[in-house]
Amino acid sequence: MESGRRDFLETLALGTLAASAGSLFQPGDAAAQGPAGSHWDLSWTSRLKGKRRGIFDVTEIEDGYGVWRAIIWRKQYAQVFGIPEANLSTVVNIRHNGIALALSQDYWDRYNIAAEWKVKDPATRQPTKRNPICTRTGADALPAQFADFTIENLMETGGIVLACALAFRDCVDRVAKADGISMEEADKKTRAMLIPGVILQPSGIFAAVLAQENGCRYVHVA
Amino acid sequence: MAGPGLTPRRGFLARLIAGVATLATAPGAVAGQSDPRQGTSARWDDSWTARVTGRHRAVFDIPEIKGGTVGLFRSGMWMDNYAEMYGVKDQDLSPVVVIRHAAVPMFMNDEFWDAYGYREEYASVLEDMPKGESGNPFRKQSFGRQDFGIDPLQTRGAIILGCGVAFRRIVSDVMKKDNVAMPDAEAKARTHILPGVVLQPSGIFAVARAQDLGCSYVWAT
Repeated sequence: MESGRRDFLETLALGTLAASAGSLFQPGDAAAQGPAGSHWDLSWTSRLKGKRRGIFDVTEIEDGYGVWRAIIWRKQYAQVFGIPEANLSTVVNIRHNGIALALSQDYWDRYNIAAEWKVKDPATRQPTKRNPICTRTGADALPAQFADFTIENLMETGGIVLACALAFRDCVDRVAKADGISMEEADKKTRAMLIPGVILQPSGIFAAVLAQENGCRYVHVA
Repeated sequence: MAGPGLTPRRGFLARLIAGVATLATAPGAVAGQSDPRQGTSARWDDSWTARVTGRHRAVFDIPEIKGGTVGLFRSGMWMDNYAEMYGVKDQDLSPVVVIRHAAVPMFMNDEFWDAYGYREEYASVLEDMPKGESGNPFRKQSFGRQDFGIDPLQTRGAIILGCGVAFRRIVSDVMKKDNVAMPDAEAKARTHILPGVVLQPSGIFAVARAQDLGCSYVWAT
């Protein structure tokens, strides 16, 4: 898949200053503010524990395999070292062309994300309309051996999922254009479609470095 | 056949075979420096390691020229993010940028880019660059940020390292275009490396060395 360089340019033009000014702050999240009066949520750093810590950098959608690799790491470390999965610090950093993974199935359906990125089901390898890392039920359910390979399960069991606010502007821009609404309205609407629990960061790069400063090993997974 | 910016595997292997041993034993492998030898090797400039002194340290790995501008931008953006978040100054930050693999034309100077037709060769991966200009498009700016080009990033304290293995492709370009032997081509190519850029035995060496010094790693392309 081609890199969205033009989107990146537009993102920079539209989003950098706004993001830096804290427009992405989520009101009511006061306990989660960063240092120096920042409005960004850095509370996830206090949830890192144990000596086994990894940050998994997901820069492409790649059928969701980046997130799967993070999940596999946690499973393997748990099995090999006999550590409960919840005691392993797993940070997934969704950024750049991978940013749509941080948004709900509603966003994927409304804006035809799967078709644009030619996404395949990570289990069946067939074309899919679904966000490949989200929980699925019924006929779309993942095979039993992969049933817990989802972003929701990862977060419910102690995993941390971060998303790049710069790349997020691409999503906002898409919503603004598709729905014919202002960027401000689109920002609210897109934010509401973030998968619950995903934490926006000033940039994915910022998050990648901060995680390593807090003891995480870095792995570029997609 | 791979296009510009996508290094064919055969080319990579050929460079390894032809170049590594030669370059590793070549005298004067220090680019544009008088006597900066700090490491245990007399052939390579390790002095940059003494400049990695910031409280926050990161190494930005740029292996592709397509996306190279993004890589530079990310290093500058990281500096801005940390300044905003922690109130630190540039001198509190140590960004190390490693330009390697297919990205090595990024550290050649304007004269070289013009003489060897790199603007034309890499036109397809420079589509977002200002049109109608000459010289190295990565030197002065990145996405319009005048402080995110290679030159201004160095002024802000960034350390720019180049891969000595991938540099062989630059040498190869000189050999072919000028019809000269490798030693002459290498000597000429070296004089066209951007000021301040430090060649390393390999980009991989540089990435690992930076992490030895406490840098967090970032895949930046």
